[in-house]
Amino acid sequence: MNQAFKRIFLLGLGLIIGIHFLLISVYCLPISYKDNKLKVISYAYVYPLFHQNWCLFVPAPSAKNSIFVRYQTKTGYAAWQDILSNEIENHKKNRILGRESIYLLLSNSLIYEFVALSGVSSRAYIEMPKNKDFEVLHYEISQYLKSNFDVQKGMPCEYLLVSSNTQSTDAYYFKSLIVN
Amino acid sequence: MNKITTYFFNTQHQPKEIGWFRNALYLFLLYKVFLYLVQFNALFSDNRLVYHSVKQVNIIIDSSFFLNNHYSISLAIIFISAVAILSLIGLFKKSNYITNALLWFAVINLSNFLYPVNTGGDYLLNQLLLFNCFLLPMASNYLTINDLKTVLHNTSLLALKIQICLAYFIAAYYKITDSSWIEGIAVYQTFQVPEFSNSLFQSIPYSVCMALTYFTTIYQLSFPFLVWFRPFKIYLFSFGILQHLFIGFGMGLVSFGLVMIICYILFLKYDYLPLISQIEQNNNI
Repeated sequence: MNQAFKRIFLLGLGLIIGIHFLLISVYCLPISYKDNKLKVISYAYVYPLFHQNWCLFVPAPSAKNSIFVRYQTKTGYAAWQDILSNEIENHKKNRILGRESIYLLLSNSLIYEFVALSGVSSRAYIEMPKNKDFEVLHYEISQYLKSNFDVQKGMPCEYLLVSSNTQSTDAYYFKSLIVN
Repeated sequence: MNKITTYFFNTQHQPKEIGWFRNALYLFLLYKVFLYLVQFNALFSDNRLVYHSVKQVNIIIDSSFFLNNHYSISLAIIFISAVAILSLIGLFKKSNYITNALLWFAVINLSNFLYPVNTGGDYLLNQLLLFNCFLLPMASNYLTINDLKTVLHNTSLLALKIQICLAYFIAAYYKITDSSWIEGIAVYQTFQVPEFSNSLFQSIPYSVCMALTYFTTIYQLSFPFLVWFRPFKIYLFSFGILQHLFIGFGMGLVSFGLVMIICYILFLKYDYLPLISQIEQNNNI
């Protein structure tokens, strides 16, 4: 292979790698650009094959989140259970064979729902909210109840989502729900 | 320019380190397969907890959502089995471009299907597997093809290192623009949340937590620059390994912690390990 071809090939590869990481940087860094085109191109290029997110522990978590659930039985409602805390404790008992993915699943979906509820103070919901994040969380909790507590599809259930830190507590009570 | 061309075309760099890196990567994937099997009911069965909706954009993107868009239990088993078999092929040094590309395809499909449970470790793993496709290729009978394989190997190795440095740099950028990290309270605050803590972490004095906050930020900010210089490596890797073991087994993000530690192997320089070189010389290896 002659030297000129080697150089051209190397320059081409360098260009590809350079553009690749430039677009990933634009996609990941929280910088606003005058020209939004670059951001749009980076989204089209990076997601989903090269998707990554590096805002690790930013902002630092400050609240203890809980998912309290109860469901209808033949003799009335069962006692409230904090299923997220239960899963966190299960994972703590054994990190290697633990239930990391299940706790992450519930924890992440709860955080998305809290983001959707941001600006809303504590309240009770008589009807099921229409947002997608709640739909996802409701699906996951329904599946959890069915597989862990033998709750049947169509049974009434209720959720109490709580986020508390040293300064405040927000609680959202969802009544009259039906297991998916 | 001649020096650069020679560097990229002449020899495949760091074959030993890449061999170790690959073994660690394939073993980690086998561990992931084990976890998928242990959690199969919750993640892949008809009673799975993972919410799933069909995504259709274009043929390239849809290929990474193949499992998601055509989900069935049998297909999930095929993808998990593929990861296990292709990792074993790699572990026995029989992998090539095709098996490694298939491995990347299978892992990215599983990752996209399990999108809500992904951590930074899963995203990084996808990128490691992408560039892994071009590392240590089998030799060809044609000189030109061998030259191209060598340059792809060396470029991928460099790309992997850039990807790891970029991850650290972006993570540091987020931290230096966040008030809790700048004020030094981030670690203390995180340790008050039971999800990432326990009674031992909660008893760590505030001043120690503050020092850890600043040390972590400085570490992440300096890593992309200092890791290229030999004298700093021992300090960077010692702190990094301790930190990621702590994140993995203390705070519970096991997969993330392990993937980050695996990445350090790429920055080792076998020739720099005098003890091993000495042993080899003595034994005429």
